Amino acid sequence: MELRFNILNSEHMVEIEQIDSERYSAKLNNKNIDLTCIPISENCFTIFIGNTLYKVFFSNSNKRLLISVGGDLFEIEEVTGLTRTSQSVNLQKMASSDSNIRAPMPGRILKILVSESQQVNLNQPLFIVESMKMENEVVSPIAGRVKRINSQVNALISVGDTIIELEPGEDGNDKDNSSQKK
Amino acid sequence: MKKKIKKILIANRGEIALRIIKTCRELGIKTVAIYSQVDRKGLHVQNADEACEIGPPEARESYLNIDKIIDVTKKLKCDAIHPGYGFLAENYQFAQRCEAEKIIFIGPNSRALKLVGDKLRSRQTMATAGIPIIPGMKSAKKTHKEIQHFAEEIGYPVMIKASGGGGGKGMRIVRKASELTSGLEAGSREAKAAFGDDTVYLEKYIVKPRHIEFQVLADNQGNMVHLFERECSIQRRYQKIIEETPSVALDNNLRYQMGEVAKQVIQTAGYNNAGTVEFLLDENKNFYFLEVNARIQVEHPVTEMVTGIDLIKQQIKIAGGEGLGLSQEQLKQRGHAIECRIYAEDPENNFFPSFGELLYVQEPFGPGIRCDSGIYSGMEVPYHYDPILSKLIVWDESRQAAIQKMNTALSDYIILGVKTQIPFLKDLIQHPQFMKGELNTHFISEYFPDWKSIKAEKNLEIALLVAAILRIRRPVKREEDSGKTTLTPWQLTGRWEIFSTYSK
Repeated sequence: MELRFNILNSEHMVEIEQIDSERYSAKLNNKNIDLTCIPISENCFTIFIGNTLYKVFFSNSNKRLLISVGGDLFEIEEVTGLTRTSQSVNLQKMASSDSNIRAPMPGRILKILVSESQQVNLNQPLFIVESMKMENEVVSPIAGRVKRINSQVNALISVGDTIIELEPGEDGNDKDNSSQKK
Repeated sequence: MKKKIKKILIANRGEIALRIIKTCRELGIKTVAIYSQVDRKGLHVQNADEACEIGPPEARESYLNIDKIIDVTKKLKCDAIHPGYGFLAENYQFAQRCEAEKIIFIGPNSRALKLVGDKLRSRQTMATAGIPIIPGMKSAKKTHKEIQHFAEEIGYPVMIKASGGGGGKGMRIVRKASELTSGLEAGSREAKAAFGDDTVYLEKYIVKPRHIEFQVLADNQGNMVHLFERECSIQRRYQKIIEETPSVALDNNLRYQMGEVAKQVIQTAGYNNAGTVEFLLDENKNFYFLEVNARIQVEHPVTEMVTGIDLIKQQIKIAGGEGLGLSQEQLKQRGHAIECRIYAEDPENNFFPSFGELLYVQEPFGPGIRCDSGIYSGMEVPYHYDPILSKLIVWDESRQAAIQKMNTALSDYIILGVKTQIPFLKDLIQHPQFMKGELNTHFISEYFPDWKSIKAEKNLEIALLVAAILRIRRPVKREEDSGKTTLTPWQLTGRWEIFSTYSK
């Protein structure tokens, strides 16, 4: 069976067949791999390839697949026909960088450092969030223009709330055709 | 006059509360845990003899609520309170209240606590006693003009610090005059939020300093020892991340000198029980007194690992009126210990806190590996408190060996569900400058300004294979496995009853 997974924003293909309760035959990166999978617990397998063994920890709940092997942690999502569309949209969005600046943590808006229609540079500070008694500055991931500010000073925010909407584009390169004042 | 402590209320949560509870059990002392509504399932609660809910999650209503805590202490007939670190540990009013209610406060007397708690005042007291301090403000001058003038006098760069407490809250480096106003505003705000006191003061900023602190124990009979130093130079935003002992920057001579000064500081302050004297060491090996940390510290385990002394046990003994029973001559450092703090923070996203359910936790173990943990599989990490999950401490015969052991231990520390800086710590301790011991408090900003994790190709392949296995794995059919199963036919049949009145 052919499967596609998304790890670290790139897609990988794996072919795999189950031979018996413990043995599998797989193809990955044009290599044929015979492996044995021994379940140790609900969250742990040992994988044998030849005599080499790998201890793998995983959690397959909350719709996320998290896998830890050799000290590296991976977040894996299966790519189905449906998710591929949204995935490429996301990837496209990320190529032009997130234009929705979201709250990275719950807290309170201390200061908003930009105003609507203002041009901002890459890494320019946009707003300050107070969380767990520390102040955290959120900077712009792109060069662009502040399209809209969705919050205000002293507002309580949750993770993922959109605080500022940006329009990507260098100075004078706005996608919006109407003339913009600087 | 000895008072036997039979029952202790631990006014804290997480890993330190559990640490204290375990030592109490070893000493045959009963324990009372307090918890806010989100900490009901906390490890410290699970391991206590008695427990009491203390309020809603906000610290102000629970772990910082002196009245409620004193009430529970009296109601459950506790002899003493251990405040841990943070929260009320350095609150002299809390210590005074305990004294008034005849409850033993496991920590310093309230007078010393008040003195060293005022960072500005304690600097002055020590300077008067001839102890070297960093050039800085003698009082919290209020007007901006005066502060600006002072900064120009001692010369930029300067450091803004909070008078009411430590832990990095309120601290800011200001490199030029134009940054002074915003720095003071931000520092005051943070200080007010953390300590209820917005007073800030200025000090000359020492470039590339090393943070060296000395652990001291003093009993109530005037005996005192220091248990050598801890180097805590690896910090991020003034929060310590890695601590170790001994410090490679100290030779025996310097160690002796600083140790004596540390004891002199404790003496001058009239301080008792456990305390730590912080110094900054500049590039020319000049050391300056910074402040006293009047509490058991997060990083106390590294001292325990090289000296073989249980500091919490000593605290309880001293608070119960016993003599120190230790002499400076008999104390030795053996081998090398390193501690890494494990925070629920995402190192690839500016170290923003990461919350949620800990889907799976497995902690490293082995000779010389110690994990002071407050977490377990299935625990929900609340966002109301400091994001420290646990501490990983290793000991080995040499610094080199300890670093390798820490690397292995970090690789074996599995936490799924929230992001942690474990992968970042592994890279940090393998950095050539760290391995050489070339540390200063700017280490992270200098060598790791924008860290991203690099995964091994082989691990990625295995992860993909496991993802595929999980996706296609068939449940095992019974025919294939007959004889292999350990379940009896009666168990395999499922639910059944004789003469059942159960109708479908």
